[in-house]
Amino acid sequence: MKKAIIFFGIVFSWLFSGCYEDKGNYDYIEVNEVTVTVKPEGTYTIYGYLGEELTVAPRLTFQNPSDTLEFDYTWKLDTTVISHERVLKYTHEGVCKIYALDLFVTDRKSGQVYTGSVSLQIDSPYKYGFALLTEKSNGATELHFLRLEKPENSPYYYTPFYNLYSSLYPDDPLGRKPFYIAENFTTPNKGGDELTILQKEGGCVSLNGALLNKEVALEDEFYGGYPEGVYPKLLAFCSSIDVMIGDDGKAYSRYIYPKATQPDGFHLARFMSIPFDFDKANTYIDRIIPAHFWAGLLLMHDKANNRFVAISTNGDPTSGKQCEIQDNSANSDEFVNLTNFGEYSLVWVTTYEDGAYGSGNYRCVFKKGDEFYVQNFTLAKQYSSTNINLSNKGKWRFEGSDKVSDRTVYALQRNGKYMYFAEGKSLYCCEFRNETGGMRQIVYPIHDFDRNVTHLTRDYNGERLLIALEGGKFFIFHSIDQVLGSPDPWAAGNMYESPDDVDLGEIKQVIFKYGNFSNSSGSSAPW
Amino acid sequence: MKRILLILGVLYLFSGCEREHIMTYGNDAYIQFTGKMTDSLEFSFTFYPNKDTIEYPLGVKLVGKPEDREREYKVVVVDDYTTATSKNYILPERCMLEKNEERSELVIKLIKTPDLQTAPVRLTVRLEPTRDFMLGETSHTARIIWINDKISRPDWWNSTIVNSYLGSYSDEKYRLFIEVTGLGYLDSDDTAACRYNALLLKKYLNEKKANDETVYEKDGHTEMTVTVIGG
Repeated sequence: MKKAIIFFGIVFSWLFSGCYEDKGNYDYIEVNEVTVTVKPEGTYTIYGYLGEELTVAPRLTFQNPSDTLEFDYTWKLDTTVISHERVLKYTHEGVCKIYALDLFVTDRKSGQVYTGSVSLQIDSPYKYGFALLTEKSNGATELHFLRLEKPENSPYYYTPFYNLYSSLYPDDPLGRKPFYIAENFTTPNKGGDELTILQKEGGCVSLNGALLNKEVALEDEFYGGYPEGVYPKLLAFCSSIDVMIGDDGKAYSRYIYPKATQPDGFHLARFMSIPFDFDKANTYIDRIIPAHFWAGLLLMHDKANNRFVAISTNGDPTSGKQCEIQDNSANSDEFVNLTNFGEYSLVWVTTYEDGAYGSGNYRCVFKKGDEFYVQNFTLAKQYSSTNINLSNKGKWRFEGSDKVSDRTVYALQRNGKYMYFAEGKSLYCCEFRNETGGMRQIVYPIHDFDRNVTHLTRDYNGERLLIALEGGKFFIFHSIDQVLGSPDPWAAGNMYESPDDVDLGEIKQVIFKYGNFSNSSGSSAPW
Repeated sequence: MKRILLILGVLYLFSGCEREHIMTYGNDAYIQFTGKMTDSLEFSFTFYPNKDTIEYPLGVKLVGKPEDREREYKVVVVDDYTTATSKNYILPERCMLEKNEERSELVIKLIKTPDLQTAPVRLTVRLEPTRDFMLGETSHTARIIWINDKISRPDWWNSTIVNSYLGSYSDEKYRLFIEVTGLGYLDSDDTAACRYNALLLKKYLNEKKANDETVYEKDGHTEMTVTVIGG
């Protein structure tokens, strides 16, 4: 009997189990799968400017295109939800850095979540472009900025921010009588940049490169203040050494201690108020030629001794010491000795094409009598040695000699091919063609302006040239082969003219502001 | 008998009420040094390279109340504990505590003599009572000063200073450093001060060399140099 009860118990349990309603996976919902793409084609980064609205339209591909409304959207910047709209419109007010931008697309029917990610780099709106230092009619210092923009599928252009400093900080004027501006960087890149403005009144001052607020007075960066009776005239920021040239023609240096011994950033070391000891006590510096950040040397013109001198600037044991330029050139008809110009005098000098680590390429214009000469050379500093090797020597009579004077202003394209020069109101270009028979120079006029040209400044790769005129006027010229080869280069290449109804003030100096050191050493834009 | 005992008991109790004359600041004036006798002092002419005499101050303080009059205190040399000769010091003729003051400086003139370069000497001075002052705490009534003109490698001339600023140590370089900079001490963590003062010495050496007056180490043929980094 007991066995029968157990048997039937098992049988009935088995039979009743068939009556259990299976609520498992039989209520299937039709899934509309979504592919979410946030990153632009060809890059993993979206760029945005601090304080400016950014629009990001994701590319969504629905499995069922007829049913695209049953979705929720959530945008996250790192871990912060910033929007629930399908197309993101966002103005960042926080820190300039690279964020993770994630879009979560949630199917309300199924609860399924689809994601897409991209890096969002928030930059200062004043990071990359031309910075113009001007003096208003009342003597006030002003800073203008032309931001280089990279639109999709169209040429680069500049967005102007006129009277930028005074519009940002109307209650904290810069000062008066400006005459020089220089950009400084930190390594690593995240430190960005600073701009230091030299001016006769109001004190020389460094500005935050991102927000342009005042950071520190230059005098406070000197150990014990400026050297007695000396005022800054020029400034060069290099890798391990910064140099201020005083109005006494002497160099005053600041040594940036190795990263291993100090934190990153600016203002970590002081300029010394003791002048640099050159080999000749009467050395008088009237010109500095900063090369790229890792050039390893700072070339300077010693007016008193009619020669170049150089200081080692990279972080090797020779850092901050005077270098010996190994130039044995004896025939100045072939090459003007860099350590003794002899009968020649220096008219202009610049760097072009970033050299390798520890080297720089230079081109200068010399004058002898009424003739002008172009000279080319490369300087390479030996690591852990103060010796500088000289190579790529070349010297040619300047074919534009009949058009230039001591007042002529010059600019060289980054690749060294086109050298612009402006004499008075006239702008010219000299093309250098390295042909079998030697260097061929082709000089041709570009444009005649209605007033004198005061400054020529190229942008990061020299494809755009800013031409500053007297009276606070400027143009930007598209300096590319196609333009220069056209019948009317000016008509083809005049890409921007400053408006006449904006008072810029007299342009004192123009620099291309790179924003950080890696941008400065690259011949391509950072996008 | 009980009455006698009672009277004696009361007298005994009243004996506890006798006024005791405890010394207080309000009554008398005491003079003493601000520092303890056991904390001996050291003075080196090394750090004053261009001076043959130095006015060396010792702090003195009043224990008592200031008064509206000048008061005189006295200091003497304790010969038994002094190795300096009278050529090495001059004590002030009169030591005065100014009116309404609680502190004073006893200024001893220390005099440099050649023998100080070879061995330090000891000068022990002691306060003596005067009609204006009694002596204060015994531990504060004398001071010992060790005087020398001897130079030796200081602790701060460490590997950082050697490698980054002044180079290897020598007595001659240290003396010159003090002479040129006016400093006898550097903090190797204060990079700006180290670099500045090393550059001062470098500039001096370079200028001497340019004037055909090259500075050499003690051996007479090794040129004195510094290793200041960054130029």
